[in-house]
Amino acid sequence: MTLLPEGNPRLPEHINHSNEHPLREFLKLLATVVVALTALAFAISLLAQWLSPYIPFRWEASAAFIVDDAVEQEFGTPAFEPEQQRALAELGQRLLLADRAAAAAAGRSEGLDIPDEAFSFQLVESEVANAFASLGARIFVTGSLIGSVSSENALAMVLAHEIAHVRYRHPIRSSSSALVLQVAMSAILDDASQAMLEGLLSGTGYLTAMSFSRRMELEADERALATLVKHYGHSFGADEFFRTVADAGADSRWLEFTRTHPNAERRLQVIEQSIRETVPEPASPPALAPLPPPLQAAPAL
Amino acid sequence: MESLLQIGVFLLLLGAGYFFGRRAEARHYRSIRAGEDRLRHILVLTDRLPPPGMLQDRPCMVNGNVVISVDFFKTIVAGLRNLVGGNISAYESLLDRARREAILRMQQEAADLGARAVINMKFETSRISGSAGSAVGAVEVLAYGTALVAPR
Repeated sequence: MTLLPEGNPRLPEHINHSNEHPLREFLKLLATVVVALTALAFAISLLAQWLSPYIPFRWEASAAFIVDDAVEQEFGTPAFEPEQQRALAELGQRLLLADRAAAAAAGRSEGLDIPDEAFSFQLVESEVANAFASLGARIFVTGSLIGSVSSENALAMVLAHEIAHVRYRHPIRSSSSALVLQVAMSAILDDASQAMLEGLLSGTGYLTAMSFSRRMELEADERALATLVKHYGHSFGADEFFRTVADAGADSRWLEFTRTHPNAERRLQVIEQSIRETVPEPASPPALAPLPPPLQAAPAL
Repeated sequence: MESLLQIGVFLLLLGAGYFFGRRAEARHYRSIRAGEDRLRHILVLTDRLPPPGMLQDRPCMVNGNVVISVDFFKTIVAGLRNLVGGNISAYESLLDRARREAILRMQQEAADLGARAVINMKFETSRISGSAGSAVGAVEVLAYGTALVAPR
């Protein structure tokens, strides 16, 4: 009987539970996880961008029907005349030849393995003036963009720029980076956190209105200018569209374009530099080619 | 915009979970310590057999049951821990409170029966999931044993 205690002992606290302040623990954990996930995202993104150009174009082309579906969903069936579509495609094909010639002259060979026949140039309807290149050498131009340029040279600059994106495999690099990242996140995080993270990263629009990096845009501009000079002998008139964008500033109709094409000011500078170099007498600039007749009737902004 | 709203709601829930959770926990610990002081005279032992001196006591089963829920803040911290690894101290304090509260309730039952000790005490813990998904809804702890009532 004397072996039994009088009552249950008062046991010390904080053996079975921690004394650490919960906020401190939370912040430490959060910092660790955020840093780790960011580093992982960065690494995955770099890896995807480095490896994806090795995916043969044939494979990219065979999966390109998803782009057509996405465009159909976003823009609906376009109501343009077949002559308008043909006029755009014909200009596109001419520029493809010029691009090849310019690349051959400069001794460059990137993207020349993509056959010219694989390229498709299509008009889509939208209130926003925009042009984008997507997977499978699909190039889309909105009717509003046609309406906002006054010469074939300006339109050619836009088309040549998109052609350059395709030649440099920018669509697959950009979209595979986003896609692989999403897959990795869904493998690590549970559904609830993943939904939240997706909201944060706003992963929409990887097939239409793809966002390329500034470097990609400048590279595409450089190649496009070389194509224009090959085709027209100069790059006068190439700045029209970019000037319109720069002037429009925060106009809501242009927001979509500026959101996916950052750096308009800098790009304009590069184009102007090219114009200065290729137009020997600024006082008497060369004549600009007019838009192909079927495209002159496109809706103006 | 939508993602900003999502983040805002999340932070609000997190803040509410933290604030109310901490208050509830502090209050609970205070009541647990008070209860432990009050019921200190009801011995709780894990021995299987009655101690000598209580061999003539009338045995009786007693149990104490408690269900405690996890607040949102704890759930998020646990989620982060699941990525990084290590003790989930948020849940540790939860279970500590639950166990001690369950023992108190068992002691209370024993006291109501006029018992002076509870032997062969054991625990059972189970999870009560609230909503589907990873969030732990609540945890239930049952403490049961044999109360020994002194003979008249």
